[in-house]
Amino acid sequence: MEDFKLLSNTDSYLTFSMNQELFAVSVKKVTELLEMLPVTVVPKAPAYMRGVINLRGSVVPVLDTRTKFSLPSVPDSIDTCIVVMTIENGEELVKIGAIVDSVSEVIEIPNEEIMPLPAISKKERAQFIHGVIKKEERFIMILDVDRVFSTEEVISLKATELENVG
Amino acid sequence: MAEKAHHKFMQEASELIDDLEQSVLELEKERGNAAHIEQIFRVMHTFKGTAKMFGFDKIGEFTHYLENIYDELRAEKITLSEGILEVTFQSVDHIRNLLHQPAELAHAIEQQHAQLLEKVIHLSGAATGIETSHKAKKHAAQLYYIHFAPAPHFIKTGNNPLFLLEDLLRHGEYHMHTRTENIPSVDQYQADTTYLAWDILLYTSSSASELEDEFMFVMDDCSLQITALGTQNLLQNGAFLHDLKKAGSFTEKTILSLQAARTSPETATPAKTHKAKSASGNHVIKVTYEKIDNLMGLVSELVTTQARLSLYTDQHKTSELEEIAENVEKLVRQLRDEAFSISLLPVSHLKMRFERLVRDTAKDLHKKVHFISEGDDTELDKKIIEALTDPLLHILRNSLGHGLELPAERLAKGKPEFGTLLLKSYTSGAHVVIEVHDDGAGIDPTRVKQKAIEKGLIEPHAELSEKEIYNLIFLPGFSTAQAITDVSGRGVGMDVVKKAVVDLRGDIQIESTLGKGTIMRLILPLSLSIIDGLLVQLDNHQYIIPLSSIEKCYEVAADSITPDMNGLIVLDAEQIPLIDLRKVFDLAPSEKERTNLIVSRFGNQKLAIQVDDIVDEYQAVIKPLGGMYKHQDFASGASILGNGRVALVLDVSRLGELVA
Repeated sequence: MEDFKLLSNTDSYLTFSMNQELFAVSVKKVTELLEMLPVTVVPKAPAYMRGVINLRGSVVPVLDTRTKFSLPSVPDSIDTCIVVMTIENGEELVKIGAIVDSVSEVIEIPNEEIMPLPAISKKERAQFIHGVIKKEERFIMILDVDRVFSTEEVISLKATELENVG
Repeated sequence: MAEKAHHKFMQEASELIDDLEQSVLELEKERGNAAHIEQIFRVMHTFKGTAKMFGFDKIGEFTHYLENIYDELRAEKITLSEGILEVTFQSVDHIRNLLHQPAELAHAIEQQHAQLLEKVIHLSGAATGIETSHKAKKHAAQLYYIHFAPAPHFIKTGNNPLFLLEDLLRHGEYHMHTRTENIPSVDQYQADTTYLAWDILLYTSSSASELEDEFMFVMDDCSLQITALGTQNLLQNGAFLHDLKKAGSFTEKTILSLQAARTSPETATPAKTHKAKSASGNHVIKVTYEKIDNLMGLVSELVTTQARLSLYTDQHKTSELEEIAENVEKLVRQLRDEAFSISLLPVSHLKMRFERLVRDTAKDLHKKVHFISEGDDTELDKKIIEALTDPLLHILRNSLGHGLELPAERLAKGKPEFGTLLLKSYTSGAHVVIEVHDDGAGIDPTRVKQKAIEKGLIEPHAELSEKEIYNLIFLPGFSTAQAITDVSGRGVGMDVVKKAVVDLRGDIQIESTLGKGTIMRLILPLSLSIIDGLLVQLDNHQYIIPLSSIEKCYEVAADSITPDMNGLIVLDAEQIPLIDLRKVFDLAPSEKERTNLIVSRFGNQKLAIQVDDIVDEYQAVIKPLGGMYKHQDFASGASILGNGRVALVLDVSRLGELVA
């Protein structure tokens, strides 16, 4: 991986939107994108755990990313998508699906354009965010999906709170 | 290829050592039994031969001397002593070490080897040398006709027929003919295919079974025939040999007719014919676990696909399609059951591993115990058996450590000096129950409770039933051992055992009478992967309840269900706790007038589960829910329905805990 970076300082990211805010995850984590599927609810689970889906014969948990990020819920629309990712949950690699409002595009981001979170932002939030980039006057938060989706907490992420960055 | 052969050797060797250990344990119990000595001798003999064949010279040498001891025992030249047994036990461990050669122990093994070897040589009198040893002196020499035809894939399995022949021919004097008629023309010849077969006349003092032993690793890959032709050594008969050479190739028939022509009739009758195991008939073949796993995987997918077919058929009712679907369903069910039965192993598999541990542990603790078992042929999924080894070991250690009293203490209490440890297995519905009984001191509820209070696990004033008190033992960080011993009570206790059992979708219960003993009862599913379930419905949610835990179903008027203050309802004049699934799963109350009660039983506990509708019986292939849902353990997994949706599989005993 390090060698690769020497050759090219650019990584690819999948961007998606929620509540008019833009997020990005490294494409290395993403295994596929699905249209919304019927979800089976697992009772007694936290609200952001929407349930499980049948992904070609295996049972995959799906998370409601809005609820997870303390954003207001909206009904599923035609654009609602499941981003299937492989994340590290403790020792093991698990497949999860993250329900997002809509996926936007895959962008190339040179590493040097990734800005750290401003020091004033809350510490507990910083651990979930790999960095921030500015594209066409909009901030995109690059998520550390291993951390975001393996924690059992609901987290608060609002790009609008980052307006005073750089 | 060499690696494959090596692997095969390791596998066989492990089995042989297990056999050996088992026999030694039996010998220890019944010292006078010559059959055990004979068995040990035989195993060691085979072991020695194969170890040498595969270049494990050290093991070969070692076993050789050990074998000598048992040879002399069996000839009654020496008598069985405590010392011999002890050395044999040590040797079994040592051979295991030699086989696996963990690098970090290399030095220790080396030392151990020298020490043990000396002991063994000392015991064996060391008079006999390696070369003379393996010719059993008891059998009168006989002439055998041997036909050995390796299967075409023989070389590909990592075997070399020439090595086998070499070993075989070492048994005595021989005449051999190689059959070459199966070799194809050059353009069809494949270098890794075996085309040859051999006919051999062998005059030896070894028995037919000893000759057969030379082929023990390749039984499945060849056709082998060994026929005893009497005691006369025809190989010394010039005229016979002349005829034989003139004939070139020969078969059993040729030999018999030649024998009849050249010898006196009374010796010509062939003795017993040993037909080797072949693929046909009621014989055993060995299959790797991997193949069985693959088979189970395919069967699981087939079951899921079949559910889709059934659903589709229901929607498109044509009589022909229905007939086909019905047939497929029947076949899939049969196939499933067959595939299951292949992956089942008898519980005796477990017991064997424990016997040695019980013996050694009891010795360390200066306790006397008879370890017995019942229902050894009860069968369980091989994966469950594997996962159970450690938990059961722990339970046995606990019983020995905390349960059974010291001999003097037992005598003082008027109990027999020897304690009894019983491993009892039986099938109960679609569950297998494994119980460990001990007739020791039993569990003292007051002490358990006190301990739990000390550890801050419960409130000092907590009112607990006896059962609840016993269940405290399964809490993390609980250990009743008054002193920390090497054997049990290191804090990693029964909570680990419970977790392992729960992970298998099983349950564990304790029954104990103070002063009389304790029963640890493990209730396990027959299989891990596919179950028969009942599909039930609440609103548009569907759940699967394992049929194995269901006793009865009632359809009743919704308003007739009136649980009392403790959530108990009366069904068939029996008070049963009610679980209203809607309530438990936080769903709004149903408006329906009729409702269904499913009476389930898990171990000794009954529960009535209330659901809206019972949809159908359903064969559920269980898929794990994964770590993200580890807190939702009332769902033991999920299954994909015919319509592609996912239904949760409910664990009745965990549901019970949820409302308790």
